[in-house]
Amino acid sequence: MAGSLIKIDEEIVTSAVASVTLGGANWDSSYDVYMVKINNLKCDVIASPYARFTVSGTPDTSANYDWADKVLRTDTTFGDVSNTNQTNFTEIFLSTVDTVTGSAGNAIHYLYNMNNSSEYSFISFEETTRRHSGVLFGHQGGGVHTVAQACDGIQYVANGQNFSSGTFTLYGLKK
Amino acid sequence: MATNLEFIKSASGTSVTSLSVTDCFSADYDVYYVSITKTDVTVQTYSYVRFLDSGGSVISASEYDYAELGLLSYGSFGENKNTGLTAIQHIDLSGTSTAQGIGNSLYIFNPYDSSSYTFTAGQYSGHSSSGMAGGKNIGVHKSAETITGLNYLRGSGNFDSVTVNVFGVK
Repeated sequence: MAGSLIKIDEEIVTSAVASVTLGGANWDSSYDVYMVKINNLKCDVIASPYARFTVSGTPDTSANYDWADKVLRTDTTFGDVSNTNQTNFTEIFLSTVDTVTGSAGNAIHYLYNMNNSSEYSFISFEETTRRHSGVLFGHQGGGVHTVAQACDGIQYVANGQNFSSGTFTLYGLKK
Repeated sequence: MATNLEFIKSASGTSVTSLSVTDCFSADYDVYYVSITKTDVTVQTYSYVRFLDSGGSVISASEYDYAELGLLSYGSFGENKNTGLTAIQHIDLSGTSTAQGIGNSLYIFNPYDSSSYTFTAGQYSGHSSSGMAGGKNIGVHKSAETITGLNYLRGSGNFDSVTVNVFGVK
């Protein structure tokens, strides 16, 4: 891994919140690549979180999110998941988690071209989660927001439920 | 400028069946990046990882699960998975030729947290006698306890030489 990681923003969840946003007012546009670390994330009830980029601090909910990934899991055949023109990156970042013992979501996301207003913004991700059912589960893949605009953050949403605990950290990859 | 990827420790061995990196996990970090860039091995097979408990002993109980997508340049991609094992398997693959090393990047989540399980997510690129062999993998140690280090081992045979580097993501 070339370069160094510089912490830009962090949100530590200790009580129920419906969403977490990294960046926005804290965004530092001096990097080409960003990394998000998510660890030990739990939801108050079973939830399948999703994510979307922010523009001027506001989530972009336009139907321009595409993704493709491989689902690794211990209970059955691995899956292929893909979709286009969605309003968020759905069910690719974090699998269903709740407060059952050992259930927790962990992931590393890389964000690309976020500051370039003439190019799309991209994401790659790897996840390792123990779902509420006790199955080891993880998405490995990538996605794109097909709008040529500058983005300044990413929002994670508990999809109708709440995050109850966990840490979200945003880093810039220094050259 | 202070950075948030901090080198913690490196460990090396020659002619060993496994290599332990002791006391590399602490309350200072919740996520770790492990880099393995070179191994020489006696048998072409997969490598495994398991963890060290608070006393520094290798945890070899049947409490590890893993899933791996094998990416081969010479054949069909493979799905490997299992539960209740004594190690997280298939974290990399290498052949016995000196030139057939590996590049392995592995993240470890929450090892020092006594109230959570320990998770891994990694990717590697290696080379067997048949050609390039890479993979994406995830794993979990299903016991809520304090983990202080890791033990890197082979499915069979020995490491002629091996080096493991551990970084903290602060």
